[in-house]
Parts: sequence; C-alpha cells; structure tokens
Amino acid sequence: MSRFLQAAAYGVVQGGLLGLVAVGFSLVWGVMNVVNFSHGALAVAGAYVAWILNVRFGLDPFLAIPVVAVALFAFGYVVQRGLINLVINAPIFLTLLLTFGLNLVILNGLQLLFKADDRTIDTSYASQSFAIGAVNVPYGRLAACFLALGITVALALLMSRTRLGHAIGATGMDRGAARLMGIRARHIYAVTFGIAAALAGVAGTMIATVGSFNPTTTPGQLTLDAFVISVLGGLGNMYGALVGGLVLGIAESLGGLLLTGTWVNAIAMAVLIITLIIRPSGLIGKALYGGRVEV
Amino acid sequence: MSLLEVRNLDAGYGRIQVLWDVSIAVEPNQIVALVGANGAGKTTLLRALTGMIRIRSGSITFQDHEIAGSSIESIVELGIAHVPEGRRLFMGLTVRENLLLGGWRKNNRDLTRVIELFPALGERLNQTASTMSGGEQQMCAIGRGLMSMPNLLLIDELSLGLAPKTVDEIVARLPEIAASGTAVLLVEQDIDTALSISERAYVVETGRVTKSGISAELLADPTIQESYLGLASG
Repeated sequence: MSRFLQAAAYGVVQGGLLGLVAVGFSLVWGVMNVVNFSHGALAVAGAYVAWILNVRFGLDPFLAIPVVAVALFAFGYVVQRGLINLVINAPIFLTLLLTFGLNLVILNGLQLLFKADDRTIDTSYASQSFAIGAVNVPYGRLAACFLALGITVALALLMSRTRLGHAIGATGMDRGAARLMGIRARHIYAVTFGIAAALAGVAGTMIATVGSFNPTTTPGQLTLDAFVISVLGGLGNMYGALVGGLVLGIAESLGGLLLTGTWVNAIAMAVLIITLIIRPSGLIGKALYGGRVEV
Repeated sequence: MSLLEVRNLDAGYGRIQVLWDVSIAVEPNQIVALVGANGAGKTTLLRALTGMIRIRSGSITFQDHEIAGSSIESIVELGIAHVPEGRRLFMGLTVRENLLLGGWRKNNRDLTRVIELFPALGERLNQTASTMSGGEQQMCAIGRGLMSMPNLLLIDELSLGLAPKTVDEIVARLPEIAASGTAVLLVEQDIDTALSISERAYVVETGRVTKSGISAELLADPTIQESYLGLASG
C-alpha cells in the first residue's frame, strides 16, 4: 500500500510538470494548427540555458527561470516570424516536416555545443524531502509542480481575461476576421510560439532540476509526452493540458510499479487510445479556437 | 476628392477573374449601395477593397492613399472597417469581447457609440456571441466594425438570414452612422431595401458595373424594376 501511495504521489508531482511541458505545445496546435515536433528540443534548450547559468554563475534554477523564459521567447518569436510563418497556410504535413527539421537542427546544435552527456542542475535541496506518513515528497519536485500549476493557471487567465489573450484566441478562431480587426496575425502567431517556447524552456529547467536531461533522448520523449497530453486533455485547452499531464503522470507512475520501465510509453499510448474512444474531443474538450475558419 | 475611389479594378480568386474593369466612388458621410444578383461579384469587390484577395490591375485610393496591394491590417488601420459576409463574429467570446477586439488597433475601449446605436447590445454585453439571434449578431458585427472608428464601413449582405422586420431595424441606423462621419458601402441582394436607404448605387452584373446613379432614380428605372423587383414594366 505504501508503495502504491508513494507512486501516486510521485505521479502527481511529475504530472504537474508534464502538464507544463504540454501546455505550450497544445496552445500552438490549437491556435495555429501546427504540430510542433521541436517542442521537446525547445524544452531541452531551456534546460541548457539554466544549466549554464548554474554552472558558470551559481544561479539557482528557480531564479534562472525569468532569463530562460525571455531567451526562449525571443528564440521562439524569431523562429515563427522568420520560418514557420512562411508555410503557415500550407497543409499540416508541411509544417510538421518543417518543425521536425527544426527539431533535428536544435538537437544537433545542442549536441555539438554540450556533448551528449546526461546533465543535471545540482541544488542543495534536490535530494531533501519531507514525509507524509509513509510517503516521501521531495522539496524540489513539489516546488516544480506548484510552479507548473501556477504558470498554467496564469496562461489560462492570460487567454481568457486579457486583450492579448483574446487576440490570440480570435486569430486562432478566424484569422481572416481577426485581421479585419487590424490584429497582425503574423505577429500574434510569433507571440504565441514565443510563449510556447518560453513555457517549454521553463519546464525543461524544472526537469533538469528534479532529474536529468540530454540532447539525444530527452527532446523526443518530451515531445511525445506533450503530444499525448494535448490530445488527451483537449487541443488548445490550458486546463486540459494540466489534467492530461496529471493523468499521464499518475498512469505512468503506477504502471511503472507493475511493469518494467520500457513499458511506460505503451501505457501513455494506451491511456490516449482509451480516452479517445470514450471522449474524442479530449478529457476537458477542445478550446473554442479548436475549429477554425481560414480567410 | 472622393473618400474612396476605385478605378478600372480587375480581381478574382486564383486564375479565375471575377471583377472586370470596375470603377466606383464613395463620398464622405454617404451611403452607397452595391446591388446585383447572387454571384455577381459584390462580395468579391468588398474583399478586394480590404486586401482579402489579390488585385490584378486597377487602383484603389482611400483618403489619398493608394491601397491596392496593401495588407489587410494596414488597410484597416487607415480607417476602413469590413463587416464580412456571414458576420464572422468570434463565437465563443462575449459581445463585449467581440466589440473590444473591433477596437483592437486603435485601442478603443469606449462602447458608448455602439450601445447608443444598438441598445439591444448594451443589455447583452456579457452574453456569448453564438447564443444570440441573427439580428443581434449582425448588430454586434456592425458594432465591432464601428469600434475602430472608421471613415468607411463596408457591410456585406446585411439582410442575410434575417427577418424583414429585423433588417428594417438595423438598416434604419445606417443614416445615423453615415451622418456621424462613417460612410457606408452596403452590399445587398434585397435591392428594394438597398436603394431606399442609399444615396447612390451601383448595379453589378457578372463582375461588371452595368448601371450607376442616384438610388431613387435607379429605383424608378423600369429595367431595374423588371429584372430585380419582379414588376412588369409599363
């Protein structure tokens, strides 16, 4: 029983983090109809930014988050504005191919710069934990989970309450009508991708703090997780990503108790397939801008 | 100098040309109607005006700016608002949010002009756009257009899918809009309504302007009565 509770607790804190990995991916998919295969690579790029700041300047990863977010936002904005916007009207297969290529470029660039070694950001508190009954909760993971929840809620509020959020949603719903309001769709798309990249970078930083990462296997794993969670929760839906993340985190963690490690991906896919059979629009449902009208 | 002057415009979709040598003009504070049968090219003309489709040749001058070939955003910024065919409200958002998005470019958050014009909207500011009646949606779409404080408002198929009484109610507000400094270019299949409310009109047939003039005179024109109003001549 205590093993079960421990796994469930781990699943919850891991799930919150996975939700943060997925939320930007889901936003980009929902608003622009772009399945961003480079999302995991962006997360790992963010992890390297935080890692360098920690190794060179001894900066705590939680304090490095603003720097990571700004750097990744700028990178994401430029990538969307200068690259993905060029093929934004093309069929989804083309944008898929483009982001797949972008993924390879980022991965190989990172590998060239930092080698393929596993890295982790060392903190004094990463190994410390407190106990609730028989369940151990590591401070680092709990803090990362709360941060992920906070950021996801903040993003959901940005989308539902602010002028910028409404402009992003409107552009996602009906780009032609949004442009008739004078909303610069290309700029809004770039801001959207920038936000997604920044969130990916922050998630990558947290993953690097509570675990380890490398430029070869981590990006693919994160992109796959983000894909599963986005579809699971409902495309473009911020809270959907959070719920999807928690479901996946708990399912993987409990599944890991019963099955060997390599089965984890199979569990993720099984959860996805079962959900889609029961609720095709995802657990929470698609965002309003999930069904779009083009010019 | 006219507010809007279109000269010898050719435009269409891809390789299919829809508009042939179209020339029209709109003066400040005026209501001008574009009338004609379904598929004549009226919607295409409005789309060409706001840069939603590419122009092949000809010129479009708005307040001394040549806007043919400009992007949608920059044309809108110059002061043209376009209420598109089918209204295209942001359905999941509230009336207030739709209106505020209309004021996006100018950062206009003052809803009073729109609410004075359409009091029904004032009572429904927090209602989701998709749950309103067609007439209220059209009011919201026109209000959204006015939020950018345009000098020219293009309205495509105002009466589409609306009850005649609702159409009359909305059309009755157009002179007020025009008098307050926003000229109106109205595309309308219901030629009787269009010619009754407008000062001047253009008749569009298979992509060309075949007749133009003072609306009241066009309304009395026997050939127009025969082809569009179903009245026997003589």
